[in-house]
Amino acid sequence: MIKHPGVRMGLLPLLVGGFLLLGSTAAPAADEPSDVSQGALLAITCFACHGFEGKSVGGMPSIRGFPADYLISQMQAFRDGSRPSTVMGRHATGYSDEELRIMAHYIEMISKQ
Amino acid sequence: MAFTRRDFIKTLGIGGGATLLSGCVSMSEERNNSAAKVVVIGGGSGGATVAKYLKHLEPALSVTLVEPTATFHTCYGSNWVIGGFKQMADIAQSYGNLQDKYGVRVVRDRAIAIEADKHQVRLAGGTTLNYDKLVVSPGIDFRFDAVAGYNKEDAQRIPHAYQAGEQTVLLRKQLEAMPDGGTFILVAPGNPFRCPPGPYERASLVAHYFKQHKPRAKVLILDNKENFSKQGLFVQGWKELYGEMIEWVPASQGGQVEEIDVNNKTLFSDAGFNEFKGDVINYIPPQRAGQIAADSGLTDPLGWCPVDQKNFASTQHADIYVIGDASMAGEMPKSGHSANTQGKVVAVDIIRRLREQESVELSAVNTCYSLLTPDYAITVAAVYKYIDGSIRGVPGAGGVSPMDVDREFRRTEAYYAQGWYDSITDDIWG
Repeated sequence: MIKHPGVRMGLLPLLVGGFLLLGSTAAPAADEPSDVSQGALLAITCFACHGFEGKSVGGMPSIRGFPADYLISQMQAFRDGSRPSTVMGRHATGYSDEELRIMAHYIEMISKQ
Repeated sequence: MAFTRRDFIKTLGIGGGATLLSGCVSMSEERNNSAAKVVVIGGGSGGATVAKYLKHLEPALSVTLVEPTATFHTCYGSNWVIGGFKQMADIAQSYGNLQDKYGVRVVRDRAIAIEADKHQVRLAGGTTLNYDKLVVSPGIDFRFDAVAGYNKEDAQRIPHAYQAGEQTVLLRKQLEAMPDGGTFILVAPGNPFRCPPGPYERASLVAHYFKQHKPRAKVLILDNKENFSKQGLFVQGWKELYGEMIEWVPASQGGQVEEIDVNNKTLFSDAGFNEFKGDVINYIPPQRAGQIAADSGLTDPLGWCPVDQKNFASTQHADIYVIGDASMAGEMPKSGHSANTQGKVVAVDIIRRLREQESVELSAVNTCYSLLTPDYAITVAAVYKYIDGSIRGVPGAGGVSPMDVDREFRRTEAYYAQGWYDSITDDIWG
């Protein structure tokens, strides 16, 4: 059974808060080249639904601001069905653990910028 | 085809052979692509995405987007207008953010020729643009001569409404003017075509409108195919929501329209054996890549653009990429979501090539939401990779919404359908 889409949004401020407490490394220096790695490509494909840079402007959940470990665990839960979903299970099954890892680390990285 | 070091130096406009040989190009200069010029033809979902992401990921690039319209209406969401619960303003997008926030140079003009040997694009207004890399994202054009009795001008009376804009408004007005008890006929094209579930979402939402305002009206779909996207889910939903209001006729049972009598709003199939008279007719002609692609030698004999399945580089000309509906993208459907994800693949690929890095492995995604009512949606989704020489869905992933679920599941997907629209349009034009 799928809960109302709004229900889980309540988690967001908590997790974002938790993430900020973890501290963060400084954003890359301005003269460093931007990240156009495999992880970057995997991650930016998510933004069609979850919003540019992972920040949703509408009814879709944002994925920005979460620690990589949390994103990986949720994708794995969608993939094995332990977290119910409408469409996410059909997406999560398309990625290996390694792909989830580099995807999630890119999202964590841009969240700190 | 590879962007060589010599090309790269030339592109930067720095140094000569001596600099190259002496190895004096510093890392910071190598990373400064300020002189590299990328031109993008078409400001739809593919073109606007690649332009925005190029500037977002590599701000030093010079990116010029050529698009004839100031306001672009997305084809996705246009069925919501036809169904009467959204306005044209709700599906209107513009280019101010690309220009002001990201520094894309937006040129309001139409590309009329690509001179691949000179690396130039000529515009209708007389301007010529030079490029190092060109991305062609022209969308579709129609094969208006596919059936007897119908030509391009007839779209003013029998609209296709499959490029959003005036055509969308025209079809909506015709539906509003139709008497109760009338018949709406939708003629769906054969594969491949833009937005595979689009005609069936449209039939659903016209039925939604009829159910409220013209309950004795009928929706008849004449199809050039034997089956269609998300068919089981559509058929189940139609029965549940609209009873017998929607009838679908496959090609083998008289659905393959061969002739249109525009004046009498009558359609013929099976050499005239079958005749269908409608009050409003929506003929969606078969399609091909946008005209500029055909004019520039980017298409195959069937009218679509073959591309390297690893990175969307044209197989016809060097330094040109083709994305979106115009491209032959393996198993990916022709959809706005596909075009968006392809734009990202190409943005990353161009930047990596300019940095003399190898392409990364292709990764692409598609999700198509279709509404059967404003509160009832179904989806098809897939994750794509390069597998055995072509772009294919990852085995075991993707698929359609489950059959036989409760209404809450459909309502949740409808909620996300609007969320998807808000997100993707912000990702592209925001």
